[in-house]
Amino acid sequence: MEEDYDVLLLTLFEIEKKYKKLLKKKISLSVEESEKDREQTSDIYQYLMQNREKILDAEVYEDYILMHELREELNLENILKSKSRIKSFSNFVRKNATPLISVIGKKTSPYSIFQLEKPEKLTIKPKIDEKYDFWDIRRDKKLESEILTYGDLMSLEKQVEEKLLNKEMRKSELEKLLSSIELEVLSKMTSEKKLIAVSDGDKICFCKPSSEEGAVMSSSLLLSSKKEEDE
Amino acid sequence: MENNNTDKEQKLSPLITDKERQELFRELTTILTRRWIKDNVEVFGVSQQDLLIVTRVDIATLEHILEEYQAFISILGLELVYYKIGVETWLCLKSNYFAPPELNEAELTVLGVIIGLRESEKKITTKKIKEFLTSNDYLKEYLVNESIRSLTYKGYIRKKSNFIDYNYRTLLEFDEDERIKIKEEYEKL
Repeated sequence: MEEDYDVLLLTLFEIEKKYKKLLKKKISLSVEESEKDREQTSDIYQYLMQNREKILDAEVYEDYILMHELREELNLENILKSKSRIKSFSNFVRKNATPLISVIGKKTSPYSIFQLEKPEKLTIKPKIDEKYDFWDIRRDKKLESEILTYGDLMSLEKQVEEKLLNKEMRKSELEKLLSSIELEVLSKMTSEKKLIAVSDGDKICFCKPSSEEGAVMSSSLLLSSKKEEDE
Repeated sequence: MENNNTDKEQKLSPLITDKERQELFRELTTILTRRWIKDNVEVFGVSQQDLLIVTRVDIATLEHILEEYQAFISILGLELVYYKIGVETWLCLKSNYFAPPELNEAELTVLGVIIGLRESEKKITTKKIKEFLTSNDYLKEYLVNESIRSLTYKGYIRKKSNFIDYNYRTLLEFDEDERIKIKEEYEKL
């Protein structure tokens, strides 16, 4: 339909052009040919008069449809294109990552809780089983006890008596003066009444027992030697 | 190459027994995969200085240990990486293969735009990022703001005198080649 319409218009245009050219060049055309063109023009006119309105209407409607389609396309493009574009962009970023690794669990902890002990501040606390430690340390060592002869004992008693008889001294002084074994001998001597220790305030006085001694209050004193052993 | 490895093992062997090495590797994995908050930013792993204190070894021994550890974890597709926080050197573990990072779609978009802009110019502002994303109706302004905040907290970006710059995590998780690819994709938007 549209093609016919174009052909007709083209024919009209060609006829019009032909006559304009001939008139300009002042060339006369035969009556026969002129009549033939006139008939053709008349037919075209008749056809156009019948169909023009239909064709035009159809064309306008077609344009309406095309316009509608174009509008829809543009609208969809505006709505969807930016969304789909940005989604594919974010996926592209996602695909190109080599992420850091962390364990599953509570996501984060403040770094301040990670208090590290500096080596100089390190303190060694005793283990709960100290008895085990004691034997563990001494496993390879021999435990020896000193056996005293009677002669040794007598000389030790004499030694203690020389150091202490008729002397006053504080407990700390006594601990520094006598060794462990001498303290043991002192303990033995006082229990056997070979030497009497009398407390005078914070000082202790040693003397020989006398026959006039009456009833006295007896008490005990714990001593531990702090005397430095000679190598 | 094999000889070199044997040499290293021989150097280490008098110092650390197999049992101690196993224990040390387990402890290293635990500490290198921890995540902390330091100055309101997430950080991964441990600082080199703290690692020296914990292991109580000298730097040379620690380096040998870490080299051995690196070979051990590469079997699992992991990599030991170093990064800087201020003047401190930190260590953590990273995937050797591409895998999704823990970012949502909006955060990935904002990070992608930041990478796209930052690869072509040094100084980028928040305003510029917002303008690009909101004027094209890609994201709402509040979502851009939220994503920038989240990316800062997660250690991907940081503000440096009013300009946005990469933080350690972007540089670790997106190598230079990947950043250029992202820039090219950004330019197509």
